[in-house]
Amino acid sequence: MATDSTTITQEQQELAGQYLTFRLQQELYGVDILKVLEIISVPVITDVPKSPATIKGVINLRGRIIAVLDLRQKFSMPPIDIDRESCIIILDLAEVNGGQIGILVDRVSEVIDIEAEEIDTTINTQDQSAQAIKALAKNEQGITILLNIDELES
Amino acid sequence: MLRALAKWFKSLWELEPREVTECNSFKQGYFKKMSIISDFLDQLQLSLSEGDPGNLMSLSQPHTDLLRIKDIDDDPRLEQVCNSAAKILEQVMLRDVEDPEEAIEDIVETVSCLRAILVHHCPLETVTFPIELDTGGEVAQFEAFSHVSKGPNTSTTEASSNDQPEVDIRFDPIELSGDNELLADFVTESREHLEEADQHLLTIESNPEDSDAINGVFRAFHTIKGVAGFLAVKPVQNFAHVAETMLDLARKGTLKLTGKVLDLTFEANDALKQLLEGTESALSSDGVLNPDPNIYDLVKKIEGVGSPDSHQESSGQASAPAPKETPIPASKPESKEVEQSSKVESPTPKSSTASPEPSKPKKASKPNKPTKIREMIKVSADRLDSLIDTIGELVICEAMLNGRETWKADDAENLVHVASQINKITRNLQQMATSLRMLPVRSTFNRMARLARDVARKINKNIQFVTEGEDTELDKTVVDSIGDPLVHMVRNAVDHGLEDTEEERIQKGKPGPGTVTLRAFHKGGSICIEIEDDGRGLDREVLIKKAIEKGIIHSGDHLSDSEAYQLIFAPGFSTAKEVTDVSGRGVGMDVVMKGIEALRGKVEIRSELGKGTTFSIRLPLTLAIIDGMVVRVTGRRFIIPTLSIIRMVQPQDHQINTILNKEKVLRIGEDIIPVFNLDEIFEVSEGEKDISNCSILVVEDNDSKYAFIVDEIVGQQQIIIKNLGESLKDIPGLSGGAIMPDGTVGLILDISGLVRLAKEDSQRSYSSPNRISSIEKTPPKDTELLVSSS
Repeated sequence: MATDSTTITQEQQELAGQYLTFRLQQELYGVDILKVLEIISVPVITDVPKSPATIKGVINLRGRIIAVLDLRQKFSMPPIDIDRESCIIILDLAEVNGGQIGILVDRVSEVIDIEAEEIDTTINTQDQSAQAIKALAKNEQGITILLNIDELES
Repeated sequence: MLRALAKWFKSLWELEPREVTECNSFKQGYFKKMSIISDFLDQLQLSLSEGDPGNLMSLSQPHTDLLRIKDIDDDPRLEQVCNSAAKILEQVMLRDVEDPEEAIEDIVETVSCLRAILVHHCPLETVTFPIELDTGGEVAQFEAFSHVSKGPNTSTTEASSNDQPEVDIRFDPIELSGDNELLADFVTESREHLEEADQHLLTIESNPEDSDAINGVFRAFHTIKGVAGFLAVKPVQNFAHVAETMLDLARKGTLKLTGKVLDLTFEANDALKQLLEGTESALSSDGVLNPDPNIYDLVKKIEGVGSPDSHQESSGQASAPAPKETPIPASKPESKEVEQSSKVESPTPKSSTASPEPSKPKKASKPNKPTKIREMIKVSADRLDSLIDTIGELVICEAMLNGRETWKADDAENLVHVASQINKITRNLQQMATSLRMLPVRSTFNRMARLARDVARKINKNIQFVTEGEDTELDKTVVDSIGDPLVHMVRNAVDHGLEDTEEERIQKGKPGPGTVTLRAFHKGGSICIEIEDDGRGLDREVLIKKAIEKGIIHSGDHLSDSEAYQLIFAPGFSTAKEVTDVSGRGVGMDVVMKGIEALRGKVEIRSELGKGTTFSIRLPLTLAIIDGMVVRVTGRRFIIPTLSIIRMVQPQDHQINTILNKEKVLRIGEDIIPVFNLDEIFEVSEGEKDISNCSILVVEDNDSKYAFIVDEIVGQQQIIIKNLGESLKDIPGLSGGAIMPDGTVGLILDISGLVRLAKEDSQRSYSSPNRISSIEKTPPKDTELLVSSS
């Protein structure tokens, strides 16, 4: 990449690593692979009345109840029907609140290596959900939006 | 003479652990050494006890062992004692003693003494060597020491004799150095012992001659002392020793455990509990145990009791260390100690001399992993056995299912058989697993007995505290958390419930001492705990007046008796005329309510003016599994805890009325109950529905009844409560989730929250009547839109 290697900041350095990527609409998102516990197909989701709109509901994951976050709702995208490609990624939030959370995504893509020089931390959007985004990664395939899963719930 | 000699030895050893702890790397070695020595002594004792004076061969093993001590520890003092013992043994072998059996006894005793000093670090004065020690030419010196140690220590001897650590050193802050897990176990176990001791003390209070109880208390302190010594928790060990010494006098009958002495024992028990608490918090933080300086005072008092026959001397003893014992921050007494005693042995932080010890309590020598005190449950072996048996059955069943290569169509009968068996086993297993967590409420009740005694003592009331049904079993979580609410309630019963004076009671024709009864029993699938007093009872009018004064309610006309009684649970409500340190601050009963609600329990109050009051707490048997009623509301399933349901009705049209064309009410008999639509509360309504096709659940919350309309009652089942996770923990009206038989998640309703929601809703609808009409008149699809946009 064209980026000057001397300008790599510590932040970029820390963000580099393996990411699980998935799609929402046409956009490609990535979450730190170390936070991913598992990927499951979408089971029956029990709707929870009076819960925040971004919570799709709760599922039973081998006897444990896990809340599922609707990322489309979170990023104000139009809802779609759940199909065969829809997945729930179970994330480990042990460092945040000791629990787990599932995120509903359109389609899981792949695991990619993201180098420090590909990372751009100077995102500039007006969207209020931007704090859930920690950086962008630019490579041949396009732009991957790296999510800050600690901020997903808020 | 012999005694003096022994003392000298002991005094030498007393120094040992401290010398060793100078260096930390050495310390670990020290513990290793201790365990080797301990093993060695064990073996020695065993071979000695098997030794038969008539059989020379049987004595040769202990004899070799005694001589072998050098290999284990090259401490010259240890060697000296062992050599002396070996010599006696030799004499036995050579038939050179009058009573060989007694000689062997003596040697066994000596080994015990060695253990006491080396392993348990028993203070000197408790140990007496029975045998004459081979001391060479140092007899004169012993005599000098014997002179000193016979009398109580005066300050001069103290200053000169380095071997006698004084009061404050014993309670210096120490860094816990033993194995963290062992220490944690020690804390747990010791607490149990102390609780037992409490119980014994209460027995002693009513019957001071009960030697079993006295022995029980003694044993508790003794055990703690022993283990604390092994783990080098010096302050605990030393304090237990002080208390034990006093109790020993009681045991021997020279001291009566009554009045002040008994109070002192209670205090000692509490102080020890505090020390253990300190140990626990030290374990979870920096590992430094800082005894409360107040302990010095108590120790002084106890030791004062310990030597009642030498009153003068004991006062002399008290005066000497007095400056050190003043209850000021721990570092100060130590600094004074430095001036008085030698620098080598005082491990005080203030001493700036060459000794590396002073900084010891401060520095974190090893990376201190905070250790949590593990929660322990004692489970009877029977229960475990039957659990394992049942699992065995399950395994057999599993084999029946899988052992066959193919299942043919005509095997259906067999399958059904296996299925029913598995069904049975599962139910058994569930029951057993739950029972593993069940504990008798005894320990909690015992604590209450102690508390009632203390409170009564403080406010000068003569009471009788009766406990019933201590063997009733409850889930451990419940047993643990019921304590706090009970504390408030027992305190309340003793302080407010009972009349202030005995005269007042006698005037009313009641016996002088008031009775407070704490009882536990099963009642219809739940557990009841009742606190009953035969005191003055609750005065409805006074309660209402007070509540109006405090602005809790506006008028009391419409309140039922039980509603009026419930007022005492309101925050900020206290009927005590003045605030005492026992109760009356107006916090308390609302805490009780919260605590019990958190356990899914309920409190009822029964009272009769002038006769007494009964607080009745109803708790579920276990927190994890409840009976639930599954209901359906617009295609969703919800679970309502069966405990809160009073009845279910299929309403007839004439039973449902509306008030002001808004609020629905249900009439059942004489009752008029407000009705809420569950789907409206949860904003999942799909339009007006035909009530005659619906079911109504009547639930009770805070003694008021509410009715909820649901589409269908599906059935009852046992459910395992799970939480919904962090992100959904504060959803109003929901208390958790459960996995339903089809594998999906069902939501458990929280009745109190639901009622609150419903009330808010109806209030909102009063203020904006449009909303009601919008819900009632809009077609279903619009409502859905309305919901999703909200």
